Amino acid sequence: MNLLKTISFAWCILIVFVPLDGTARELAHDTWDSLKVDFGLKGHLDLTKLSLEELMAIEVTSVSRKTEKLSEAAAAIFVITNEDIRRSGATSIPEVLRMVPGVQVAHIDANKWAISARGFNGRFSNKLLVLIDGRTVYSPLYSGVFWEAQDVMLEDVEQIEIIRGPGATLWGANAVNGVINVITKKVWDTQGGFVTVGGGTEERGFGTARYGGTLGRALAFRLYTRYFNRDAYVDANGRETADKWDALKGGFRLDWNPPSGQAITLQGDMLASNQYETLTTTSQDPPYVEIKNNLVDITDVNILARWQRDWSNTSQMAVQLSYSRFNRTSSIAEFLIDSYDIDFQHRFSPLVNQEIVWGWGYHTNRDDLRGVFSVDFNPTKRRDTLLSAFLQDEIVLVSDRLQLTIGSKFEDNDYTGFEIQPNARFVWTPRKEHTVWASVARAARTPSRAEYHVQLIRLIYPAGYYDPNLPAFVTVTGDESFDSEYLLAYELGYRLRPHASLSCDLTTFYNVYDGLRTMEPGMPFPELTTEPAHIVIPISANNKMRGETYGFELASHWRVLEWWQVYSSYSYLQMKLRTEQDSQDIIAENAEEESPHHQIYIRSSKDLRDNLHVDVGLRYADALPSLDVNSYITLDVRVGWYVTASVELSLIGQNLLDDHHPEFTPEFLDTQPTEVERGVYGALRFTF
Amino acid sequence: MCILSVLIFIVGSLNAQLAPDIPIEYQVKAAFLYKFTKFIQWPEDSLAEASNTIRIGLVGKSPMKKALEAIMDTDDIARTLELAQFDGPQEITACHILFVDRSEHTHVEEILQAVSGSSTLTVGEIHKFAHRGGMINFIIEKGNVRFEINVKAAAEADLQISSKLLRLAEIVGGVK
Repeated sequence: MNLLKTISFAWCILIVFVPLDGTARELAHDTWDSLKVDFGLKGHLDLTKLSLEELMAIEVTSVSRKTEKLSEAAAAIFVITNEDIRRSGATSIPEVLRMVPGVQVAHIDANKWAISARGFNGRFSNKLLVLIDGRTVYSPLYSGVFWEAQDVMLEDVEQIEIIRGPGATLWGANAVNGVINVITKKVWDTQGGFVTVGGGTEERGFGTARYGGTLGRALAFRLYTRYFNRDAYVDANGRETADKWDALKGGFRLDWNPPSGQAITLQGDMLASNQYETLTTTSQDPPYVEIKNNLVDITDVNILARWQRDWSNTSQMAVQLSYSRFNRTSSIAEFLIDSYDIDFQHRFSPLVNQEIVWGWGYHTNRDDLRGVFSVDFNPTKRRDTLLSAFLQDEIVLVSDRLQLTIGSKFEDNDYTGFEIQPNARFVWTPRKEHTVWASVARAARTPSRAEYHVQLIRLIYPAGYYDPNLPAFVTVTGDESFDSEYLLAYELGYRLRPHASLSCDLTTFYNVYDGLRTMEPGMPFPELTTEPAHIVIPISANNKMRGETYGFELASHWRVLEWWQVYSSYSYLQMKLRTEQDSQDIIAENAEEESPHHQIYIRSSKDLRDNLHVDVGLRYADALPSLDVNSYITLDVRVGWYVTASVELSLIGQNLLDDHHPEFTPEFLDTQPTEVERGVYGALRFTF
Repeated sequence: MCILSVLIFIVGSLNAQLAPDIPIEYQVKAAFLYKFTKFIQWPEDSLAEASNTIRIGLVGKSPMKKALEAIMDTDDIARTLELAQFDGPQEITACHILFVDRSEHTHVEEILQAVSGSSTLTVGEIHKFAHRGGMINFIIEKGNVRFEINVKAAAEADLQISSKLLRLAEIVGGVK
């Protein structure tokens, strides 16, 4: 903690005395798709000398995390645009993520997913950081994301950036295997209104309405509301299961652009959702197990305020404050988590060839986690704080050819104390059409509330089985000596644009993990003070596994003809995990077979006639042997017809090749996994 | 400690040379306006005034004015451009190009009405400006300035737009 204080204080002092001047970098045209401009003597830009194309390539937005041109980013970045989302026919963020190489998306049941990047997938996968408009939505409960509570109105999503690997991230905690940042459109780009309604076999019914307007020259807003109702899936025999769900969401956003390069945003959302599942859980009376249809009630409220200011053309600052309240109630537990966040970031160029980004963040959670019997936490209430700071220097070694970036994140958390996560990357652009980049980074996945404090009764042996007189409770017990998991990641990437109509992006990675979680049994002991008296067989989290994962990811975009584009991605993943000699976890290494070795995605996108859009997407995922899930190949089709410029009718078919297919089986909580059914739905969108 | 670093930062940033307060977005748009004059042909008898100068009218208070003045700072360009500021649709007089600032989004119909029948190139930066009858509309896409052109509206005003410009624009006015 002291080291963190000293370092941040030192940097603050340095900032004061480093002259922040407005010198920009030199004019250069060579770098494909980007342009840096020369100020000249007049102190403003002389753009009239540029061609139309060059003018169109200039970055005019100054976003807090600078929108680097895709071709220059030294990371395995994939961007899903609003158009990609619309044409895929996907109705939720998880479904949209299926097109990203290196990301594993699997339905557990109709309202739950297992999502991860580069392996270690599970319902509670914990190596992925997810942000919505810069606000972390990762839950401190288990270091993962409740995807079923993150319903974002897809129509107003500007883009989703997915970065696999840890090195490129300057954002919050636990971005070990990747970061997903969902960015919604600025209010200025969502003026006017639209209403979408639709329904079908799996998407029973949904409706979204949004209206955007202005309140003056520099102030604009939007309001939206959304509802959906989704059908349950089926079991392996084709019988309908209990997992239907619905959700109601509403929100607003206000953007204010007062003069002198400032942008202020205020946004908030509210979500209320009911989800059903079939849950097998332990109970305190014989036969000590029950299977029930569990109703999960989720409410989520959040509000965010952001202030950005351009001090000069090379000095930008942003401050963000956010608050969220998440409440998840079911018959086995009630969770309430309040999160508060302050984030600050500053980007500036002290020297002509360098750009420094630095910032700090303060994040605190207050939770109240109560269980009925099978799940509980000890203590039930806790307040956790995370202090973080980061610093990154981007150095241009050879103008528009070679760039080196070095930086580090520093964090002080309430579980393992101080963590340092450095990274170094370089980008080399030998010629306009080729970009090579490499990265080395270290990341830490810090423990969660569950690993430290959970009491999860997994299985009960009645009296006479384990102990002659008392029942025995196999309990997953929290352990405060659980340490962080560590990753050392090496990545190499190559981007190629051999032709104006073809681009390819290849990334290979080699990840070395240490201290991976295993569940180790402890000494059983009698618990005679509670009702019923029982023996406790504890199982606790420990760090007795290490391993390597490696693979490669390929993404390409081919404009075959003016009106026909093909997007494809391929992911290859191998995981080699080894538990320590003294580990008694016999299933930890199964994680090797819980993420597919191969994934393929191909989408053909055609613009027919004047007003017909046809998209056909093929998806393949390899088998998951340790979960008894077979490989599957399936097809999604979307046909969109612009009846007039403001009315669009669309018909979407999803998972068309099978009546139903399984994708995953969850861990820790025995929710019945269900099989994804074939579905068809139609939608009408009216813009005004 | 956090408050301290914020304070220190604020003091430190007062050192920053505040750049020209013309947002880069408008510097780019102003450059585009200047360039449009090279790719568009006005009819022979369009305006009564001397033919060498291009008259650019601005409706609404806009950073575009400063951006255009900055462009006119050079001798050779200064000779060819002339600026006129209009506070509302009722003040509009004849000009080659009329730029409609986004603050005038509620007056789009009146403005277009005021110049209909003349050969004024209407340029805006308002949601669906071109769909509503304007000729060129600036939009920001992924952080870059793009433009939509309503070819039909330009043709009705007797303006000829070079294919070099049309090629880079998003054409609107029909069903996409």
